[in-house]
Amino acid sequence: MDKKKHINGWKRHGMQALWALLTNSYLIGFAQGKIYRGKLKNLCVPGLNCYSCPGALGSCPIGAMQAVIGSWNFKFAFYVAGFLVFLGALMGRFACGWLCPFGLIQELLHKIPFPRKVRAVPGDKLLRKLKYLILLVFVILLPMFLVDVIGQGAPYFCKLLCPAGTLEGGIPLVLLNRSMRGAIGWLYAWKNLLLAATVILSILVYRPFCKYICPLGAVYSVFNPISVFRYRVDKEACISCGACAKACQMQVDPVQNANHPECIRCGECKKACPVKAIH
Amino acid sequence: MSRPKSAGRRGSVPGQGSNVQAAIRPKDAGRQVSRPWPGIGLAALGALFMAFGIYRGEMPIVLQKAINICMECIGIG
Repeated sequence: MDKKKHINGWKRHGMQALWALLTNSYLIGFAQGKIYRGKLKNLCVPGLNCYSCPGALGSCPIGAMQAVIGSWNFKFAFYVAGFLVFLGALMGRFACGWLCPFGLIQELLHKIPFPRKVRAVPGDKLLRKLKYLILLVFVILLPMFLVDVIGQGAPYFCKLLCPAGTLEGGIPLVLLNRSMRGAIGWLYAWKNLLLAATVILSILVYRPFCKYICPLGAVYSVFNPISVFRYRVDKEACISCGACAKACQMQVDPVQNANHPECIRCGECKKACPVKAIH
Repeated sequence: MSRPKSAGRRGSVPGQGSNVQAAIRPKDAGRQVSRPWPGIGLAALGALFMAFGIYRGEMPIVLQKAINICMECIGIG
């Protein structure tokens, strides 16, 4: 049974990897140190995937949202917000569990053996609210109000906090372009420090960025309780063994709330249930 | 840690309150049955928002940002 669960776990990772490859398949970008400039970048991808990744074929929804909010002529991003509402309303945080490349990276890092894995950090409950504050301040308010002389705001979340941009874009592009190597400064150092912290924390804690920082997860989480596709627990079949809560690495108890905002729809609880009470 | 299948099941005795509901949908007995309409409604709203955003010209802004290397994103600008 454990072997079957193990295989099923890698099936999800296979899906994640396949999607990551599909949406970052502009291999010429990696070869030549440039990014894709075609029409596909009109479309957003569902996960956190920097559009400055040399392989990226689509746009990061969080980056795109800041770009529109920070533009001089629009202060609300209907297109990007609509995309997120559409996906969230259909499937909640499914994109987090199955379609986000940065989520996959964190999960793979967490598989690195370490003697003292941390299931819940101190202050976990409060820290889970931090991502909503980051969404409000760095993704919405700062690009809207902290503007330059012509009224344009910068993508402050991407600039100051996002480690995905550093990993997927900053490091490859700087390595592949000599001119960029001459331009790096304190901001690049700060971003790499954040990335290093995320990598180390991911070994110790399951998906720390998703739990505490990711504004995209914050958006999707709002829809978990009401999405079209969501989990249901058969309370009659449930034997209250606690296997689902133990299996959940986001510390959700599906029996208490099968559609908790922190659930990333990975399906581990469903696989762990001995009486198939989770649907 | 198991309990009899019938324990706590609604409508298991004829004549009791929610018997009709259990008779109509016996498979759903004990399951949280909820409507998908809020999700469908919001998805439709999302689609409308997307259409409006495209109509008023937000897509070129998204494209323009995405096809140029975002110096802020990579930690240079």
